[in-house]
Amino acid sequence: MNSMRPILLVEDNPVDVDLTLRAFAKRHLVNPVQVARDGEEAMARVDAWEAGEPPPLLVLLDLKLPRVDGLDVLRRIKSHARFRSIPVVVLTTSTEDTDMRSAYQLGANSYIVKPVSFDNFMEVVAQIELYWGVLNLALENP
Amino acid sequence: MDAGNAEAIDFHLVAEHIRDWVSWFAPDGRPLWVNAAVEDIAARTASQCLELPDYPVCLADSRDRELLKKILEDGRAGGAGNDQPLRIRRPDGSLRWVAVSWQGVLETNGALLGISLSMRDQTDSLRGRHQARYQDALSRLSRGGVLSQPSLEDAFQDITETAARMLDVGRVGIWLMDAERARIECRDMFDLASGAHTAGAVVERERYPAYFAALDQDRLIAAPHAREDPRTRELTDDYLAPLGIGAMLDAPIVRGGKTVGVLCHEQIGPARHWIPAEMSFASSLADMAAMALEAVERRELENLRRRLASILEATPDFVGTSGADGKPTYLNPAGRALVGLSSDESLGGWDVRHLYPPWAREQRDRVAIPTALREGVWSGESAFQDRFGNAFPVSQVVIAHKDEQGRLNYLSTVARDLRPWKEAREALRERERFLATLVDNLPGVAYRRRNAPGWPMEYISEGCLELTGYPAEDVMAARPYFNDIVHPDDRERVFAEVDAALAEYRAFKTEYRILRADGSEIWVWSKGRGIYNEAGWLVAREGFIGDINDRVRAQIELERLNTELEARVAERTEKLAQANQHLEAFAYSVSHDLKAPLRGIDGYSRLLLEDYRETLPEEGRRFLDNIRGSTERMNQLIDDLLAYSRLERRELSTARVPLAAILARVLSEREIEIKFLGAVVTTRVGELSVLADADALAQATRNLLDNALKFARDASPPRVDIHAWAEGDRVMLSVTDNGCGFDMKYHDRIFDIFQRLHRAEDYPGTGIGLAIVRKAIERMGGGVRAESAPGRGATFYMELPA
Repeated sequence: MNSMRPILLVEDNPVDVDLTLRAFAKRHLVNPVQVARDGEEAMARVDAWEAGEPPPLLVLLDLKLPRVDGLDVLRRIKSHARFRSIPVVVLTTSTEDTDMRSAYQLGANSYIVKPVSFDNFMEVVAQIELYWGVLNLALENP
Repeated sequence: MDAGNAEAIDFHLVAEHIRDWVSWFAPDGRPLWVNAAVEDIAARTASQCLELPDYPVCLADSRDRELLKKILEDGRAGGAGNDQPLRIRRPDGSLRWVAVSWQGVLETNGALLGISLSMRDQTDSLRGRHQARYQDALSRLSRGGVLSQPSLEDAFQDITETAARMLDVGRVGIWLMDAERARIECRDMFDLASGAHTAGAVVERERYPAYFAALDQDRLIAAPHAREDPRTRELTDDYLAPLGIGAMLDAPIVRGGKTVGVLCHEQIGPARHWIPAEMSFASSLADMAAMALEAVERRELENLRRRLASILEATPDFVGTSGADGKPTYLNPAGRALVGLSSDESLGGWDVRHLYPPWAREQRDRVAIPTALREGVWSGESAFQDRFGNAFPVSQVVIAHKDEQGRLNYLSTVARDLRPWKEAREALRERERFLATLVDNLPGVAYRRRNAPGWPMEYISEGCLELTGYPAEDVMAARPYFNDIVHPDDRERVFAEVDAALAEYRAFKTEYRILRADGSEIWVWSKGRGIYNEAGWLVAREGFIGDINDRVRAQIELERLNTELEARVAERTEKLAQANQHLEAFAYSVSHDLKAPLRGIDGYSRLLLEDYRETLPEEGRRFLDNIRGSTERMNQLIDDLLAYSRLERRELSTARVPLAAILARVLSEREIEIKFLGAVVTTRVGELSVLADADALAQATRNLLDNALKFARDASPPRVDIHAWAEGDRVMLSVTDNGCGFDMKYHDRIFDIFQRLHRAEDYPGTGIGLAIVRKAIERMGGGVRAESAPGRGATFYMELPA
C-alpha cells in the first residue's frame, strides 16, 4: 500500500540523519525511513529494488558521500527504466553552481541547500511534503 | 648625139661636178643615173647604187623610207618639192641628214620625161642646228634650276626627260655607282613613250664585268649596235633584248676624276649611230647630273657646317683657329668670354699668346705646335689665363690643318677648363680619404670580395688585425683564406644565407663565430650586399663585419638565465596552481564541513528549547538563544567566505549588462528589508549599461546596498541614493547613504577582507562584504572607492567599462 512505502534518506552525517528523522517526526510523517550512510549503501538499496524489494516513494540524497558520490547514485536511479519516476530531492550543503547544474542534468527533481537553521529545515521538510504530496501524515489525535 | 642627148650630157657633166647627190629616174621610177656625190653622202658608188633593187629608198633611214617613197611618187605625178629633210643611213650605220628637192620633168606635151631627185648633205649644218638646240636645252636646265631642285630625284628627272626628248631616245636613265663600285643602281628612268619615271633597278659588276670595265674607263660608251658591242654585248639577254634596245649611249657622271654614275640613253629599235653633237650633249647632261649631285652634297655639307658651327658656338669648351701666320681667325663665344672679347669684337687686336701663362706659352711654342705640325695633332695638359691673369689648368688639343701639298692652312685648338673636373676629383679624393680613415678606424672590418671562384678578397680594412688577429694584407693574399676563419660549425649556414641573399638581390645579415689567429673564438655579425653592374651581373659583394662577442655571450647567458627562470616560474606556477586547488578544496570543505556541526548545534538547541522548555530555567533558555545567534553569525561568515573565494576562482563572463535590470533584481531581493527599515531608496541610472558579469555585478551592487542600509538604519528615514553616469568610456555607479559615515583615514582599509570599522554589536557583519565588492569590480576591469566623513554618510563608487 502506497501509504507505507518508505523514504530513502542517503546521508552520511549521523547528526543530519537524526535531525531529519526528528523533523519528520515533528511533521508527523509516518512513512518508514530507510537510511543509507554512504554511496555504496545507496547503491545496495537500488540493487535490492532490482531484486524485487519495493522501491521508495522518495529519495532524499546528499551529494558529498563517502565511497560513492551522490551524483553517481542519482545517475543510476534516473537511468533506470523502472525507477526513473521516483522523485529524487537532492539535499546538500553544496551551493556550487556546478553541483546544481549536474544534479538537474542527471534528472534530480529538486535541489535544496541544507539550511543550518533547524527552523528553516523544518520548512524544507514541509515544502517537500506539500510539493510532492507523497508523504503520509499520522493523525494528530489517534 | 642629139640636142636632147647633148643637153643630157651637159646636164650630166654639170651634175657630176656639183656636190649635191643627184639622181635621174625614168617615168616608171627606174633610176637611170646617179652622180658621184652619192658616195660622199651615202658612202656608196654610183654604180653600186644603180644595182640596188630599191634605189634610193633603201638608202634612207628606215624611219624615212615611206617619206622618200612618197617623194618619188609625187615626182612621177609631176609634182615638185624643195628642202625636205630626210635621213640617209650609211652602211656603217651613221646617219646623214639631207635636204631633198625633187621635180617631175614634163615634156611639152605634158608627158612625164623623168624625175630628178637632188639631195644636199645638211648634216653639218644640221649639226650646228642641233648644237644650238642642245645649247638651249642645257641653258634651260641650268636656268630652270636643275641644280637648285629641292631633291636629287627632281634634278635627275629633269635631266632624263630632257635627254629623252632632245635626243629622241626611248629610255634614258641615271644610274649611280655604290661606294664599292660593285653595282649601279637606277635613280631615275624616263620612258619616252609612257612619260613615266621609275627607279630602283640594280646592275651588278659581277655579272657584267665588261660593261663595268668600260665604265671604269671614265669615257663615253657609244654603242650603235649595243647587242654586238663588246662592252654592252653581255647585257643583251637580261636587259637589251627584253626591252628591245638596239643602241646605247652611256655618258659617265664624273666627280673628282672618278666615274660615280652613268647617264644611259637606250635606243628602242635597231642600231643607231650617235653623232658627235649627241654625244657631247649627253656628256653635258651627265656633267649636269654630276653637278646636281655635287649641289646636294654641298647643301648637306653646308648643313653639317652650320650644325658644327652651332655646336662650336654653344660648347663651353674653348675653340679657336689661327692662320698659318699665327694670327687668330676664329674664337667661339666660350673663348671670347674667357679672354674678355665681345661677340662682335675683332680678333685683330688680340694676341693668342696672351692666353697662356709663361710656362704654357713655352710648351705651346716648343712642344704643342711643333708636334701638331709634324704629326697633325697634339694633345695634353696645358694652362690658360683669363684676362685678369689667373691661370687655370686645361686639357688641350692642337690640330694642324694642311692642304694636299702638306702646307699648313691653319691651326685649330680645343681646350677644356679642368677646374671643375679637378675640383670634383679633389672632392672625390677627399671623400675617399675620409672613407678610408673612417673604415680603418671603425671597430670592425669593411671588405669587398670579387665575384670569382672562392670570392677573392679585393679589399679588407685595417680593422682586420684587431678582429681576426691576422693583418689585412695577409687576408687579402688569402693567408689565411677568409672562409677558413669562419667557424666550421657555422660555415654551411652562413654561406647558404649569403648565397640566398645575393641570388635574391637583397642585403644579407648574419651572425657567426670566427677563429682568431690566437685560437680564440669570437662572435661577429656580418652585413653586406651584392654589387651589380649596369647589366645586372653580380661583380662583387661588399660588407662589414663587427665584433659582437660580448653581446652574444651576454645574450647566450641571458637566454640560459631566461630558460632557467621560465622553468622556475613554471614550477612555481604549477605549485601555485596546486596550492590554489588545495585552497579551493579547503574552502569548499570549510563551507560544508563547518556547517554540518553548526546544523547540529542549531538543531539540538532548537530541540532543547522546544522539547524541554519547561525544565529549563529562564537563563538556560537565554544561553540557548545566544548559542543559536552565534550559530547564525558563524553561518553567515562561512557563506561570505565562500562567496569571496568563489568570486576569486570563478571565470567571469563579459556581456553588456543594463544597470537598471541589475538594480531591479537587487532591490526586489531586498524589498522586505527596505520596507521593514522604512528606508527611502532612489535610483537614477537611465539607460546606461556596462560590460560586466551580471551575477558578479549583482553581488557587488547587493553588497553595497546592504552596506548602505546597514549603516543608515538609524537615520530617519534611512536614505539610499543610487546614481549612475557616463564618464568617457567608463560608467560610474554611486551608492550614497545618510548613515554614520567613516573617517577617510580608514579609506584604504575598508575594502580589505575582515576589516571592520565598527563594533560587531553595533553593526553586525562579517567584514567580507566590501572585500567582495572590490574583488568583483576589479576582476571586471573596474575600480572602487569611497567618500565619507564621520556622521556625514558615505558614498561608494564603482567604476566599470561602458
